[in-house]
Amino acid sequence: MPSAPSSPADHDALLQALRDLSAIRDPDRLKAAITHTVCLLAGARRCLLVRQQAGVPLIEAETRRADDPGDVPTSDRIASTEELAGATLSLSLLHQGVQQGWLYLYYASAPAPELAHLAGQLAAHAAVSLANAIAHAQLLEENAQLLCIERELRTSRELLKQGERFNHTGSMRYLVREDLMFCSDELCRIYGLAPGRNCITYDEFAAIMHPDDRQEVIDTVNAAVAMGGTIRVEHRICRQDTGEVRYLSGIGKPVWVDGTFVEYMGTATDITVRRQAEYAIRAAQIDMERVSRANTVGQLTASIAHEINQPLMSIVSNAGASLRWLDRPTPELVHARAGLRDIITEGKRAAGIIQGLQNLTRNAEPAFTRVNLHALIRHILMLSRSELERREVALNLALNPVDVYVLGDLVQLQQVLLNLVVNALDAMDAVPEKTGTLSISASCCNEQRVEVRVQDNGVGIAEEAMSRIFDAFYTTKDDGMGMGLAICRSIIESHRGRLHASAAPSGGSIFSFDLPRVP
Amino acid sequence: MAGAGNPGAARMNLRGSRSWPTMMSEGENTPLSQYRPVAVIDDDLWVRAALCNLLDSAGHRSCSFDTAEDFLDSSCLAQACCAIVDVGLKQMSGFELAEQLARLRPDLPILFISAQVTPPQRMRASSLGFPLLAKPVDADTLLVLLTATLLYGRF
Repeated sequence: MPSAPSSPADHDALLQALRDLSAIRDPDRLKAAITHTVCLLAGARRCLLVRQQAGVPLIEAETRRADDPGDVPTSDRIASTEELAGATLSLSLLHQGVQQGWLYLYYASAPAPELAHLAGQLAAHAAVSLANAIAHAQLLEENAQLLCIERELRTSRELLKQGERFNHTGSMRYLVREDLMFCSDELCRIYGLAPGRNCITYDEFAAIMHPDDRQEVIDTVNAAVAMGGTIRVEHRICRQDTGEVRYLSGIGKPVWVDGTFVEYMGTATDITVRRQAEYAIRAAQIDMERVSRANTVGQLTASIAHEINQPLMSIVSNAGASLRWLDRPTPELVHARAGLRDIITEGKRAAGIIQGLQNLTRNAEPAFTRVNLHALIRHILMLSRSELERREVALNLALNPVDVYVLGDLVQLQQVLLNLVVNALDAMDAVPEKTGTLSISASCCNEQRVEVRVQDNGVGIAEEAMSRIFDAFYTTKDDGMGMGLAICRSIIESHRGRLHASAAPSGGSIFSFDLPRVP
Repeated sequence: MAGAGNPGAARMNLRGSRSWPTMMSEGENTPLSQYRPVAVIDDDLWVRAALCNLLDSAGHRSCSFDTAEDFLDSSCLAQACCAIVDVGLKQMSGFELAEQLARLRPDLPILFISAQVTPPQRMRASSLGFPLLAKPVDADTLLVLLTATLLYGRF
């Protein structure tokens, strides 16, 4: 039985014990040390440290002296009411008004007042130490969480950076009031900004833009910012470091907070490679169209020779005649002049035919103009007339009494019609026992649109081929490229029209396209 | 100068063409076509006009038709001394016209012309027994051939 701590040695033991308790930072170890010290110094047989956890009293530490008759102590169990009521002393662990827990001390008989006093002192110190240890533990835990969050943040930032790099997409924040644009690393790289210059003003941003696109982008952005709308722009920039021109696609959205916005968040994607690919495809397509046109024209070489030989015949004959009129003993000047005038007319006619052919095989960007559809149809029929005659095909032409005009590229539309006519002739060649009839009509469905139909009574289109005839490289001809109808359809669609194929009721096929009319 | 040389060359040829009938027979120097027309059947208005001009300039009479049908319906059918027929006529073709003429005017010589001569056309023309000339036909060649045809009939 320990004596009351009246002696200096006891006093030293108490101080040492308190110092030891203060040094313990781990709350679980501290709790065990508290109950142990209380048993040891305050002479209790058994000591419980109970804390209220989620509304129930939980025994978090327990010490029994060897002479205590109870079970082997297990901590973290719920204390029963009788158990707590049976305690000799119960001491509150109060620190700065916060209840840290309770100590329950059990004695065989009532302890001496000195021991009870000592227990009280121990409890007061234990409360301080426990509060400190718990606060320390919480701090450690928070630190660990912070570290973890920071690591996650760093990882996600790195991922974002890599993602931006892979996608050639930079991101930015634009503070509207401050007029400052914060650019991500990738955006700095795209813009060619000097390292560390990730914050630029709107004017500096405008300076990077390609001069030809600048005003349009500024107008678009201003209009969007004025009403807090989404910004979508495609423009070129001249990189600040190298001056290289790049194509960008940008999108920006306002960040709304409490019904107002003070900043835009957005991305800018470098689409130069995509754009170049698009241009390459377009160039290839134009080449392809030209080749296909040349091919179609090539199929009509015989007809074209015929068309040019007619004016040549007229020229040669008139020249011969004029010479004879002049060579007469009394030159017949009137007749000679008339002949020479006809030569001029016919020379122009030949030139016109050749120019028409050159147009068909030229390699130029499409140019939209007001096109007389009837004149176009007649021109194509002029080119293919002798082909019709050679193949003994009858022509059935049904045009409106009044000329119809459409907006389009003359050459491209000629190409479409020529292609459809040549296809029709080939289809009729395949049925030699039947007399071929080619029907071409242009009818105005309404004020807005005109429909052109090319119908033949040839071999027709097999049902399984119907869905594929407009596919590129699909052909049923031995020497076909399979590009004709694919190009025709893309041309008609670029003229805001549709090209259809269907089976003619009387056999053969009908190709029709409609186009918007212009006055 | 090229301009001065050409008429001379043409004159030489012209003289040559005139010497043909003279060489063959002095008495038939006057061409038949001075009072009987050469018929031109071609669907191209300008070709037709040019051929008539050429024939007129060489001292022949001429009449011209757009289609074979028009010629068959005309008084010229009975009078013509020769027919210059385009093969690629609208409706009835030049060859079909020749088959009709073989019945109606078996004595009428024909010169076929075509803007697009193909081997089948050549065979057809030679089987009908008349020459086929490719447009543009050389003016002198045409006139020489015409004169010879008028003299000797069929080749």
